[in-house]
Amino acid sequence: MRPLSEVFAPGTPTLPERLRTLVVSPEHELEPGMTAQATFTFRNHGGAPATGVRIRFNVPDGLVYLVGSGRLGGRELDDDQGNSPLLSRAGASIGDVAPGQERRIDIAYSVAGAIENGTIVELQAAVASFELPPTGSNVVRLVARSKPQLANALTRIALEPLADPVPGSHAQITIRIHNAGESTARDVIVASAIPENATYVAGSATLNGRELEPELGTSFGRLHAPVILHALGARASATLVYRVSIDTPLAGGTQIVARATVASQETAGFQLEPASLTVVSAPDFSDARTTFSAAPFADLRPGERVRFTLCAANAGSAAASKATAQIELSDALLCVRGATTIDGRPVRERGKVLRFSLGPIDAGASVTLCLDAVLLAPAVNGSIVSATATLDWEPAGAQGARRLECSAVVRSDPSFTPRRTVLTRTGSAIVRPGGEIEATVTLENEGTADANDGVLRLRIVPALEDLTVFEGGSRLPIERSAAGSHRDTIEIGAIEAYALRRLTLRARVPSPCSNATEIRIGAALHSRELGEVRLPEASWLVDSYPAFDPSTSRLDLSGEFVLRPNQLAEVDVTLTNVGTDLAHDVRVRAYLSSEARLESVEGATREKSSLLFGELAPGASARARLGLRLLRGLAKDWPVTVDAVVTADGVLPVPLERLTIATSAEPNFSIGAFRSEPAELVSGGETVEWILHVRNGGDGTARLVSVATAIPDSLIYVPNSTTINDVPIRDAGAQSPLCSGQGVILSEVDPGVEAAIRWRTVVHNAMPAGTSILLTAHVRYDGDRDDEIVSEELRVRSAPAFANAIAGLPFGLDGMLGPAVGERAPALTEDRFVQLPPATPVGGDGNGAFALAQLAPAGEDEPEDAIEGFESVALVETANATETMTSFTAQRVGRTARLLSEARFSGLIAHLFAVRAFLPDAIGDAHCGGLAASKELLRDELDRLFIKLRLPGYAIAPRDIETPSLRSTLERLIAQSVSARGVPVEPPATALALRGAFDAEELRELGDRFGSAPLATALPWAALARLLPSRDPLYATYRAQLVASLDALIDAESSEFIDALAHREDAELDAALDAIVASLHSFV
Amino acid sequence: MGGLFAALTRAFRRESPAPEDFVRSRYEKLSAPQRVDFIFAIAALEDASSAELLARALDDPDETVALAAARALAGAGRSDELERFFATHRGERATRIARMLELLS
Repeated sequence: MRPLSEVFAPGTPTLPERLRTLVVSPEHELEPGMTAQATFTFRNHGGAPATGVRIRFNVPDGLVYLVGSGRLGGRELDDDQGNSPLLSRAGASIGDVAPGQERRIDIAYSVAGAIENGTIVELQAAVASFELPPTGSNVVRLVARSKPQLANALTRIALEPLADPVPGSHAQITIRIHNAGESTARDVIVASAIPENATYVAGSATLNGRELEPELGTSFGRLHAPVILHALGARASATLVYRVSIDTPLAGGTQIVARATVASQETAGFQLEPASLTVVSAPDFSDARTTFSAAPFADLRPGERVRFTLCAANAGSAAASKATAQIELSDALLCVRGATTIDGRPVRERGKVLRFSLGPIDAGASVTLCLDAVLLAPAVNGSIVSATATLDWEPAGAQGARRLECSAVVRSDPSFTPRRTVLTRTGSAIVRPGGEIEATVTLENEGTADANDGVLRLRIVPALEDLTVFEGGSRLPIERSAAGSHRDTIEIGAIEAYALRRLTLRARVPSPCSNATEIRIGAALHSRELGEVRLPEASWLVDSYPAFDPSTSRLDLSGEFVLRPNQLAEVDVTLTNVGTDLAHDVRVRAYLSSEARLESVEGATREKSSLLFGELAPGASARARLGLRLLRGLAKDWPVTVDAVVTADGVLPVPLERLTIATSAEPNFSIGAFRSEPAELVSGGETVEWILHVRNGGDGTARLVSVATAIPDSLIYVPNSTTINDVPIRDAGAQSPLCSGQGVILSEVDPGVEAAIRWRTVVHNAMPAGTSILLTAHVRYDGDRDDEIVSEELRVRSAPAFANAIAGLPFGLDGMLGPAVGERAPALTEDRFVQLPPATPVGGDGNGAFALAQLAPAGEDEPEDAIEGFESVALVETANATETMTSFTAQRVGRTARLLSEARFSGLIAHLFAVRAFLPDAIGDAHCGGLAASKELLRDELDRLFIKLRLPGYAIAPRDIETPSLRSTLERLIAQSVSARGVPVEPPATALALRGAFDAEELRELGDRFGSAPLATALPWAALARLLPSRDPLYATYRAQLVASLDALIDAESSEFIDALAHREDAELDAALDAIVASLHSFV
Repeated sequence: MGGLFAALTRAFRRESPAPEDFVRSRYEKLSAPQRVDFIFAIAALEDASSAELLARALDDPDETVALAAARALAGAGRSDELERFFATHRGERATRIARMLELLS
């Protein structure tokens, strides 16, 4: 027997039905939510009280105690918590029940909301007491009546896109089925067709998260109405989820509608409210497949083509019904018209706007537009040229256009070609030092880009002066290089593309500058882009030479100077090289008057008559000081002249302006001696010799000197006692010439020449004692000079005397013993008052010469006719003659003899060599300046002719006979010979002295014709022949014949004279010369 | 001859690279009379090349030309070169030249 606590345990059978007193209302069926009222009544049918009675009800599944409904006899049995003890395991204790008593117990149940239909609900009550085992009531069986409810608000369908609802995207369809009924829905079927424009995504169907298709055994999309769930409990939900793919392409706005019908065995099929979504779809050119590119994209050079390619790829899900592309090129690009293609097909272009219709473009399709353009020049290197493409399409959707841009990097270089970037010379290629040269630098950028940071570097060799660079009239700064580098830099900045820059270079050639110096100017253009670009060089050639001109090179007399004989004059030679090149071997050849001698040279090297200055830089000056000494006195109108010729290598000889030095030569006779012998006392009747020493103590020649004195009455002149330098001179009547009106006339008294004039007087014997005798001599010269020379006082000593016999006389004499007449005065002694060189005898007025001629001894062996001829010549010459002398040493005699023998050429030419051989060495008593030069020049000319005549068949030319310089020299010689006077002094060591004399007047006449006579005629030779020796008869004969022969040709033409020289034979003349040569040989 | 002299001297001065060669080559083409003239023409020049030419002319095949050179050297006071010549030339030809030169001195 089970205790009460164990009855009604789950799974245990109900108690046996012993009490049939349980009544339940309703009686048969229950519906969810209903209240089932049960009443249990029992009676103590016994007799004894049943004690400890307990009542217990069961609670079947599906029923729920309705709180507060358990009552015993109307009395609520629930505790405070609302728990009914009737349902507890121990049951509700109702106390004791007396026998016969009846008890009623009520209880109510609520049917659960979800109870499967047909569920059997069994209700039973049990009572037990201490005395009685649990006794069961009847079992009331009720059937639950319920059904599922799928159609409710929670059963619905949803369509949700997993992403943007665009074609191709996935959408998820969710069908939720909720059983809102009280019972389970069996075999739930969902008929859900795949929406239009969508495709089931295989394997995507899940039910409550589980894959469905394995259960279905096939693809969900292929089943129309599969049973997706065998049972869906009440209040349970099931969720069917599957995905669909939205078809693509698909027009935008397309509705995707999801529909479903749900049914079960209990529920007829019903349609769910459809769910839908709107497809969002448009053409799309926004992705990377739509491109706009340029080829090449780099190193695009101006002039090159660049191809722009627009690839319009419709990456959208909808077709573009109409697409257009508009290309915009940058200004640097020029479209190549006619070259545009769309998908390889040429496009007809209209208008200037580059707009092209691409037509429709399906989704996924693409169209390629190619457009060619040319990069215009110039273009900046590294710049970017771009093009933009604007792509428009329809339908536009969210984006109806796209702007694409592409670019190409420009590769552009400047260019300077040698054809246009040049350095050219302007003007002549020959330039003088100090001159300006000009060159033009033309910089033409033929490239397509600017040349930046341009620097022009000049290479100038040699360095020039005053370098300037102009551009457009403005001067550019020059950064001069360091000395010696010959590089100058000019910042010229940027040279734009296709720009032409023209710079003008000017510079000055340095002076000095050597001749033939080549001046080269080179240039190199440096730019940042190209580095160095060399330009061709321009060159000049320097024409430079040294030069001297008489204005800057001159002879100057140092100070106001008047040159006096034996005095040194300083002449400054100043040379200035006014040329532009270094003068080499600068010389000054000085030509001095024969009266002057070059004594010293300071500042230059002397070489004979030349002064060597060596090198003289341009612009430099050289100075030398010459010391000139005047050798002898000159007349005032004979100044000393200094001529000079400047020579140097490569320079034309420059004669300097003649320097004329005035000479001052004054005779001076103020100092003289006038004495007597005896000197102090003299007796009456005694002879007194007066000695008057006059001396030209000046430095000039006295042309005419008159010496006069008066003899007082106390003195009686001794006739013919007057001598000059021991040469007796004729008295003037009975008086001494000193006492004549003009006195003794001396001419041409050179400086230092002394004349000792002696004469004798006798003291008048009637003079009283103590008489003072004082003579005064007057020396008058140069017209206005009158010097007095007073003799020392001579006193007369008188004493008585008686006539007497005079010793030595064989007879007596009534008179006094007087001075001896004719006794010569002693010669001048060395104890004179002035130490002087030996005085030169003065020719005077020619009488001296005459006297000498008369005194000259004649050779004893001379033939009579020769002597006669000689005398006749001498007599002719006495009137107006000057002596000449040719002195020979023994060696010269032999040499002359051999020369004349060697020079015996045919014709008269041999006699010219005779003239050369016997031309005098001295003419007159004074120095003849032109004689030496004439002899020298004549010797040179005839020596050359002598050598030439040794050449076989040589024909004499006029220049062999006479040259202009020889003519001028001979002319001077003749002039000096005419003015010469006196007798030459024979030099020592003379072996043979050949003297001659000539008629000065005759020579003067010939000399006067020199100016009009042509060269190489007989005139000068006829004049020279007159200077040959004539004292010797042999020579006199030869000279006379030679003069005659030449005089015959004196008016002949030059050719005739030369012909005579070459061919005319004169036997007599030749014989005369042969005689002379023979005599010379015999002398040797 | 004046033209020839001018041409020679011009070349002598202007053609700086080798005037000696130029003068020498021209000189050697002259006839004996022309050589004599040329020698006397350059006798007054004092440059080294003229002196060299005169010295070389002493060995001229034509004795008269050699005599002219000797006379030119003597006239210019270049006795050293003459002495050197006669010291190295002892033959009859040199003796004749020396004798003639003595006559002309």
